[in-house]
Amino acid sequence: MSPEKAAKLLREQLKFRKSAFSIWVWYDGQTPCLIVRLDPRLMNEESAVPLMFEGYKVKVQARDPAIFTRRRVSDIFA
Amino acid sequence: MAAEDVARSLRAWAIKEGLLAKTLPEAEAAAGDDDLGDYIEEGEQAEAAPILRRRGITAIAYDNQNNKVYVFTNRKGSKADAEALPDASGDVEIIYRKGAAAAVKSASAGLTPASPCHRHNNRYACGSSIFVGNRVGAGTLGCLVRDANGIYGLTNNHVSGGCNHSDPDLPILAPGALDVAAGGFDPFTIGYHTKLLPLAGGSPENVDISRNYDAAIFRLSDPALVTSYQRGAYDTPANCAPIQPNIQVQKAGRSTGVTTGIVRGKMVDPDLIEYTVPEFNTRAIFYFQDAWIVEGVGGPFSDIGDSGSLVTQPGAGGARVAVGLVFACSKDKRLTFVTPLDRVLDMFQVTLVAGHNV
Repeated sequence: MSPEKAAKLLREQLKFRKSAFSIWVWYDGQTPCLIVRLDPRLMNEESAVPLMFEGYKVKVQARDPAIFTRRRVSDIFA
Repeated sequence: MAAEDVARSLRAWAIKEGLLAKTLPEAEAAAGDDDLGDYIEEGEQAEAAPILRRRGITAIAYDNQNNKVYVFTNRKGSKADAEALPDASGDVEIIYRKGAAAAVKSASAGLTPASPCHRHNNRYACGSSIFVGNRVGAGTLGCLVRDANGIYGLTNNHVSGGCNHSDPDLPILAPGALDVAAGGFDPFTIGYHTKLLPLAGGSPENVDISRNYDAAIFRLSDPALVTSYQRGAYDTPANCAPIQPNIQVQKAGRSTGVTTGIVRGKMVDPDLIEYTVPEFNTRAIFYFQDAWIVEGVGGPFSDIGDSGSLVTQPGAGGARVAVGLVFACSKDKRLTFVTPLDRVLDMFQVTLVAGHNV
């Protein structure tokens, strides 16, 4: 099974609210793994995420939102 | 050989390569002085230029008594950088240190990189600074595209599209107003906002985010003023292809110049990006479900101001292909988020422009 398909299946199985987490397929190394990015407020429930799924290792991270890469005047004084 | 001679020659080379901001009229005269080849081999120069461009030279100093030259940069370098940069010229030791130039902060001063703009063949190059004309900011001109009606610049919606707020025909400035400085590039209207891919804000459980691709195009004011060349590095590829994982990619951008990364991850479902729009007193969360994640090699792949940069990777047969547009980065700058270009071109119904004024 492809890692993307495994990720979509995992998404269906996890019981968290859909917008509270996201899943990445991560290609660092020989075998892709799945990264479940949880809303930080749900990290105490990370045990609900399986360590392996459909042959892929699963890691859990607290989701830290990315930011747009446009430079503003306020960036200078941040 | 005196340290002063090496330092002056290094400075002239740095100005010519666009690594050092021109701050004094004497910089023009110095650009023609001496040949750095007398002190540092051409191969070492070629290796050093992209590293120093990324780190941003703020000052060069010399110590004749102890035979040392100090090169100060905006950013600290990695071990790989240290191994690649020349550490001596004859008896003169060359030392690299992180150090910012002294500055009086004002609305027109700030963290402008050494070279936010690049001219190639006397034209404004892709990978250079642009922004909407009625606000102060800076992003990157990714590439040129065309349809039956003409040639356009392609970048992010949050650069030229004002995050959905730009009026049609709004002038787009080059460089962006944040990068306008004494002795720098004269700003000009590079184009006029034409079309954007609208960003739907909010939770994917409430709104349709399936068409969230951060992209916008602006009609060029005069195609003769711009080139499809990506800074001084390579031409925009003629072909576009889907991004492939675990492959090296490159990009040319306003803030970090030409950088290399590796495609490490793919979003398989919606993930969120924070966006602050102070001009409109707005802070928004946008979800994207079709983006790739790139990890930088030897430093960050992108930084704030590189929004809109075109990402390329080797295609079949080794020829470079265009694969994406930079649109976001992680807060620690370790990861860059790239939107797939093939979808963007398809939604705008445009094709890439290559070989334009190269």
